[in-house]
Amino acid sequence: MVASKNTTTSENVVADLQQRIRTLERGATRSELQVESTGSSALDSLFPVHGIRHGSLVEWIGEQDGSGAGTLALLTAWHICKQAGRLIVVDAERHVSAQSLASLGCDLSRVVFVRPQNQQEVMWACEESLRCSGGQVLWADIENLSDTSFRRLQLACESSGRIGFLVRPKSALRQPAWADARLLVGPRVTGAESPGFRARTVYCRGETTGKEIEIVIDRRDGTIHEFSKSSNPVPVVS
Amino acid sequence: MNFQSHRILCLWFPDWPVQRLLSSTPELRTRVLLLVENGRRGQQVTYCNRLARSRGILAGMPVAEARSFVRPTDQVVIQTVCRDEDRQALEQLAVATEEFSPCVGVEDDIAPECLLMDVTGVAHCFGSEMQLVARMEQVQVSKNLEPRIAICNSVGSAWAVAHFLAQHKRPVVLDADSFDLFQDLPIEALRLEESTRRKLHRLGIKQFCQLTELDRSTLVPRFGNELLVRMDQFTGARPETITPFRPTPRFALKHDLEHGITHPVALEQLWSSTLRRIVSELAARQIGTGQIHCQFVLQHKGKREVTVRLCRRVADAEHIADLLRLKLEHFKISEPVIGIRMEALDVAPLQQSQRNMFECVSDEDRNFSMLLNRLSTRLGSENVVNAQLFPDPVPERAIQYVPVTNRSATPPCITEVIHLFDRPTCLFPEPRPVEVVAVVPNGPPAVMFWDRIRFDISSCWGPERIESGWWRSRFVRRDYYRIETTMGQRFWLYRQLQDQRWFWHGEVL
Repeated sequence: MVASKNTTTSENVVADLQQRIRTLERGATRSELQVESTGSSALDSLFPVHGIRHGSLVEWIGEQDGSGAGTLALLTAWHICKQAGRLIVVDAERHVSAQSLASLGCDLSRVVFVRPQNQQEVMWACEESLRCSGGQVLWADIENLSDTSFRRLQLACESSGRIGFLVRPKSALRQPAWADARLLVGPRVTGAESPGFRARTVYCRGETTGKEIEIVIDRRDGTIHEFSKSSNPVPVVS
Repeated sequence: MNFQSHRILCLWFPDWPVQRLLSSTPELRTRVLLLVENGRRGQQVTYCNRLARSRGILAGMPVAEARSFVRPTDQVVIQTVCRDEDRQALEQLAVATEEFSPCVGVEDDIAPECLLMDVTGVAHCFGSEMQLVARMEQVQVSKNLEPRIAICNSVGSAWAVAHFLAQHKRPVVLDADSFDLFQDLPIEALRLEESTRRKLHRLGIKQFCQLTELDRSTLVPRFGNELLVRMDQFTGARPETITPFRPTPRFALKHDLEHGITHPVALEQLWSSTLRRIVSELAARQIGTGQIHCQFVLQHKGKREVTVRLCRRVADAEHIADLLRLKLEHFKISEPVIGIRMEALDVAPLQQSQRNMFECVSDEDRNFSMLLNRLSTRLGSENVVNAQLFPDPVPERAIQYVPVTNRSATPPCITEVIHLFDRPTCLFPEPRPVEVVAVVPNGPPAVMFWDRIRFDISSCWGPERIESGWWRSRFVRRDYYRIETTMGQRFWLYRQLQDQRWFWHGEVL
């Protein structure tokens, strides 16, 4: 009995210390932690606070072309701003399909597409969007990002409490991360119409890395399920 | 009381030029009055009075022919149609009807015959809407006019009902539940172009109910966007604003200097003080601006112009100054500036910050619109856009991007059902030509080669045939396949049926 009480006390102390360390690391004065779910418990488990903290950046790194990192980030971003928020899509390449966003369930009147002409404008647009407290989530496809620029984006996020998703190529793994979490996303063969993905944490603030999940996006309703070898939740013919 | 639904009154004067003359000169009623214009066949009758019609004279008839219908005892008065005077008279009438509505506009037409009024929330001042129209009828009849009056929920329906259901001294007031009455109205009630009306008649479509039975997605390619716009304006699905006839005052200032200035600080002082004066005038009248045009006059008679567009009308000098500063960041003036001209355009009454007890404009909305203004100013309005879906099966034509600063753009109200992942999240701006190996001729792909990379295909779904109408300029006929590679990547390929070539059009981002 005494032992269990001691264990509980020590766990509380550790949790309290972790919270203090995170606050110091963030450099923010916010005392309460506002966390948004990604819409999937499996995906939530990859993040340090079991969800995406307001005022944080998440890097979605694609293993290769067509890896699904951008799609997962878009689905998650829309899930967060589904109720009342807006989604800003910074798409310098002009390749994000608005038609597919509509099919993912996005209300296009609440999605703004920003199409910068060069890298400098991309950074400016991202920083402005993250700094503004207008209830929006940022999704940006960024290939090159210097340390200084990354840090500026992180500070912009923290000052406004907004969430930023940066979709990046595999080469970004060689650079230091200023994001709360860095996920490496790759495709997974499912053989069914619903696509499957593999996501692994390569960096996660305050947590151990290397945690991996396999997920399937249900083609019928867009929900994200954990991939199960024994029982595939998605039928082959739908 | 319902605060949400709009109530629009349409006051139509059939053959307005004739009514105007009869109103000022009542003795013309006993004469054959012909208003004529020069046409292909010489002078033609454009309008005529009731007596002339009773003699068999019709609009479009040559004057010489019309004269042959006149009896020897008839006095004939022939006058030339004067469009400017007709419009001025209608505008004077609009001034007189301002007691019924704070927003009165003249119909947008070359030869207007209607006044449109927003009478939302006005009826209780007269007792009811019926009493309002009765009072209006009484006022017009006292001026020797014969109006047709209707009140409905949209400009389109009010116009249609006034023209096709209302009679002299029998005004019509309809609410949203009376939609069934509209079904039998002719397509002329939709205010369509002559060419569109002719096309519809050729196809045997004469009534509104026949149009509503057709698939909307087929209407745009055949008749253009006008038909859907007019249908939606008629049903009220698409908002239509009444442009007040009174000219909006201009908010412009000019400032000439004795000596030219070049220093950026002095320049900023110049434009910011001019801006503050304009915005203070706007704010005093509770008016906002959606566009600021600034012109710097240079010493050697040159000019440099800057325009800032906003996604919401504001009267906030600091915010506009911030946007102008962004715009002027890359603005190089090589010569001394000797003057400035600044004008606030696109002005209109500001949206009230609190519309009613329960609906508020939040700080987040305000901050977000300020962000959009900043992005549009720095990156260009064409690079900060909203997407609108169009009912076109060809993927590259199914989306139209509209600048967020374009407030006049209204969504096309089209919801096409597409299943999740039927379209890829990444659509290449130009389809990439690829080499494909199929197991059977014209069958699904088994292997794809692109840029010397081999993609083995493990699963494939399709084909989904997408083709455009033959009348479109670029005929499209494609069989699309959704494929999964052995690595798990998802691509979207198509075979062009005209030449059997394969293209890679998109992927799961």
